[in-house]
Amino acid sequence: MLQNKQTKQMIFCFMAPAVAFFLLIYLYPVARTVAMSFFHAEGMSDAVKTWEWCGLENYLTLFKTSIFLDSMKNMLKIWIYGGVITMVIAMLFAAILTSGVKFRGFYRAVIYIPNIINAVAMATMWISAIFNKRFGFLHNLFEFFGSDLAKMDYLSGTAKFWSLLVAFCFGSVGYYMLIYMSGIERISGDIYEAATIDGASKAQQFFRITLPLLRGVIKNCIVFWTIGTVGFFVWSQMWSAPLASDLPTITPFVYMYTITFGTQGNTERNASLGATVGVLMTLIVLLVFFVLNRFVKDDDVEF
Amino acid sequence: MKRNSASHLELKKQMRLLPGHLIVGLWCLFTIGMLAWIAAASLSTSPEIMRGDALKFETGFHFENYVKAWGANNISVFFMNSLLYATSAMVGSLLVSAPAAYILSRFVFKGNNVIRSSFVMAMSVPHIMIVLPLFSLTTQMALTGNKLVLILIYIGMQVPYTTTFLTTFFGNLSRGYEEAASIDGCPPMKIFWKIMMPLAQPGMVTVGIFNFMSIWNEYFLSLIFASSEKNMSVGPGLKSVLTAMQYTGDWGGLFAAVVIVFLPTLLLFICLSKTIIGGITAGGMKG
Amino acid sequence: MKKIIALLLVLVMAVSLVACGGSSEPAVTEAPDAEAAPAATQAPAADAGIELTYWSMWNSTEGQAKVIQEAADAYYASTGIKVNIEWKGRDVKNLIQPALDAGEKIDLFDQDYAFISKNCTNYVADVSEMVTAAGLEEHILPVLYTTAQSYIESGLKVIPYQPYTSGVWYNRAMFEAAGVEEVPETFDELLDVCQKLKDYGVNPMTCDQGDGTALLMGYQLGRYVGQAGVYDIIDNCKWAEVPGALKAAEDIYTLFANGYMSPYAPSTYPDGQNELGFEESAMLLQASWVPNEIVQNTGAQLDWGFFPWPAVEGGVNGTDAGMVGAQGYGIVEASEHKQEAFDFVVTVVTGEYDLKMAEAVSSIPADTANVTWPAAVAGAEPYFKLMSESYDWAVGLQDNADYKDYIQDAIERLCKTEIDPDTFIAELAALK
Repeated sequence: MLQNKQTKQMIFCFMAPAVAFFLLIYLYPVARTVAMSFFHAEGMSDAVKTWEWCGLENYLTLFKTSIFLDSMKNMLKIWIYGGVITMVIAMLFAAILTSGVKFRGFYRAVIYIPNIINAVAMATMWISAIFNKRFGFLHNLFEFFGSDLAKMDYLSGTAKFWSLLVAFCFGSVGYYMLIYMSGIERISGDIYEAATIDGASKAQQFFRITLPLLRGVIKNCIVFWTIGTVGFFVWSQMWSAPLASDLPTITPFVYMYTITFGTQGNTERNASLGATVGVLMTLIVLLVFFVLNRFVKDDDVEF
Repeated sequence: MKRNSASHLELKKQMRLLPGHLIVGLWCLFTIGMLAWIAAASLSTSPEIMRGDALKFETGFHFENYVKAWGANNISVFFMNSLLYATSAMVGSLLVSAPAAYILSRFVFKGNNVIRSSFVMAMSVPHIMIVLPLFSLTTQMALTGNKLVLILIYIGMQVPYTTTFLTTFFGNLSRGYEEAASIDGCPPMKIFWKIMMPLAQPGMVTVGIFNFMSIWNEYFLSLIFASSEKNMSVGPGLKSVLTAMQYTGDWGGLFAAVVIVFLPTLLLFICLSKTIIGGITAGGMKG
Repeated sequence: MKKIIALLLVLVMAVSLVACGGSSEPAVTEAPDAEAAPAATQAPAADAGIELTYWSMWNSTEGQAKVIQEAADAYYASTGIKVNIEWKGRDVKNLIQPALDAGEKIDLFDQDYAFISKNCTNYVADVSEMVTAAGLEEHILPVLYTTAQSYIESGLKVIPYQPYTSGVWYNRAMFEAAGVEEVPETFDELLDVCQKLKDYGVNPMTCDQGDGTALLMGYQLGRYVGQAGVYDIIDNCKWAEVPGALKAAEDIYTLFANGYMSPYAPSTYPDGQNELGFEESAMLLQASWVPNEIVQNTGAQLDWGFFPWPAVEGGVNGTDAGMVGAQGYGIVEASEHKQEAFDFVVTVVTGEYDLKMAEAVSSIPADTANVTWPAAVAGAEPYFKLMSESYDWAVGLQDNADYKDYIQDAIERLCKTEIDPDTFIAELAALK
């Protein structure tokens, strides 16, 4: 197209707002956060000239802080266990729903519903309707079978983490299922037909055809899952006592919140340490992204 | 006869798929059961809920829980705030992103690729990374407690995703219309507003709804940037009702508040589930 | 400099939106946004009257908030000074310091009085002169006054209100029915009472996880080694060296292992405390706001009894040491209207509104001139007057930010009898 003056003007005018927003909401904050992680700064609004250069000290401090390491451990557990559970169930459901079952649209919509409900509302439902040990569903279910599990407290001790994870995964399944479904639907039906003629069973078809062809989609899903895990905040807050962090459910995001805004006990606030947590989290996402891209080839089928 | 055998075949096929039906069916039942329980509990009283009698309605249906939640528990305020944030950020991000997406998809210029990949990168930046500087900026400018700040942040946050999504969408539109219009002497600005925008409507609706829902459900930024009750959105607002409720013990009111919070998105979803699901899958595939 | 860049960026966005729109479409969205956000930022005080900004720890639905709002309206009516209250809820604890750092115009806020004295000391004004001038000293409960002063080197940084005490709240009728005639004064007597109640067929005691279990362990530790001893154990990691620590752990473990606690305990707040309301459990160790919460939650009509946490054999503290505290008001040092803010606070913490608040939520009146305690907490009054030493919240177990989550986690598992007392001590001793 002709790049006359009018066009140039239009390019500028049309791009400027989007780019300005990008600079203001992403580039500037990211740059400042990265810079801050190499300095000492107590409050997040402290003027730059009061920052003291400290090199990698913040990073070293973090790796010596046991509560941060524990929060990382929790996050890793969520990432691996939660990831495997969610991805497997999502894939299973996607396979079922693309196998020609009736009421496909209904099932799909209902399974997706938890995603559209505000997380605070969703968590409240889980905590009261399912996990409450007085009137919750699990209590009633186990009582019906006369099991001792009816008296178990799902929201404390070691069970706490797992109840949190189950509730979180339950909500996430729908989203990944949708992505897998659309992936599967884009695989040509001819391939399956040919396989059926060759005598391959449904299961064989799934493992030999569907899974390998969905490589790229799965890769994307893992990246999304990583981003979601890094941003794990509100669920953890809902599972903790008001205004407290809890060892079984603390995540780096929660730790950052308490350390930068934080006023737990008589901790000193330390905004630069919070910034360092942010940088580390971003690095983790990037790491996952690049490792996956390096080792998993993209799809053979072009979507 | 023929039809009979067809339906017979179908039935046989569905029988074969029975395990599948069972698995997803139970899962759906569980989801619906949970929602139904909350709806029932929202019409009950605290002592009834605590005793596990939420479903018996011994004292009748307590619709006043909703009145209380809406008014006294401030849900109306949170609701209106969320509506304001979600609507204006949705419209705002579309108005910012659509022109940019059009340019990115149609014009070759220096920086086009840089911008595109920057936007893709931005989508994977966790909120944890951007919140501190933004907070310090707003406080330095004495803008805390201003709703506009949160709206601008939300717009900015949605810009990379919206732009990327719409760039693909514009890319798939035929250039024929523009070329015809341009031959007729229509200036490029006008072509965009008068021809391209209407053509892009389906894509804009999809991404718009997606943005609306993600802002409606956003928690962390709202917690930080809209901390007063009068500015709170439904997420932190509901959390504050929850906290207060633990001291005042109004569980019926709490569950009514929960229902009020999820009902709009649920209704929206039921009416528009095709479009919404389309938007999510499209976004998910392109990453 | 950054401010200018940011402003420029905003300007660029606005201008380009308007300039390039051709039609005025994009500009339209900006307008309603701007309009929809009035009153969010504070206008500078008009000459007609002063306006104060008050960040409150309450949610507007709570009983306290309603009384405070009433007091603010009355203050406006009588002085023309408007108090703009921002109901921030408990999150104000996290938001107040960053906001003050950034120069946000706040005149007063409320929080736990120890938190204001210790953590916010650089932000709040010394109010001792104003307190003296207003003659407020004699209205403040002496134990709160001296404790608040003890947190800082000199002066007074906080005006306490909504005092609380703590101890064991029990169902009188249940005690009578089980044949318990006297409240226990030592831990062994407490165990006897528990046994009697258990034989009678109710859960002797209950508790919630978090604060509930921390209070149990804190009190028991406090009885053995005193408040200073608890800090010594935590800060210098002397769990293994101090014999009282193990004894306290064994005692608490006994309560749970012998079935003296509700089978649901430690429960998720507020399920445990509600067991008292449902008349399933007889006793609960908590602060004095708990009777009100239980009544609100369960609609129970109980005859509340109270006794302080019992003493232990060979312990440092007897029953005259207790965990008391209060919420408090801090007047922001940077405020231009400190005196006005203080005057407003005085109306809340004394006289009519103090009494109203006490009645609204069954709390202890802050003003010593308001002598009648609400019925639900009246049982604690005689003990309150005998109190000679005050513990910090949870007897200090939640003070050390680096370790508190680990301590709490260990207590939780001890109470669930997932670990035994020796493991409990070993685990905590291993923390550096």
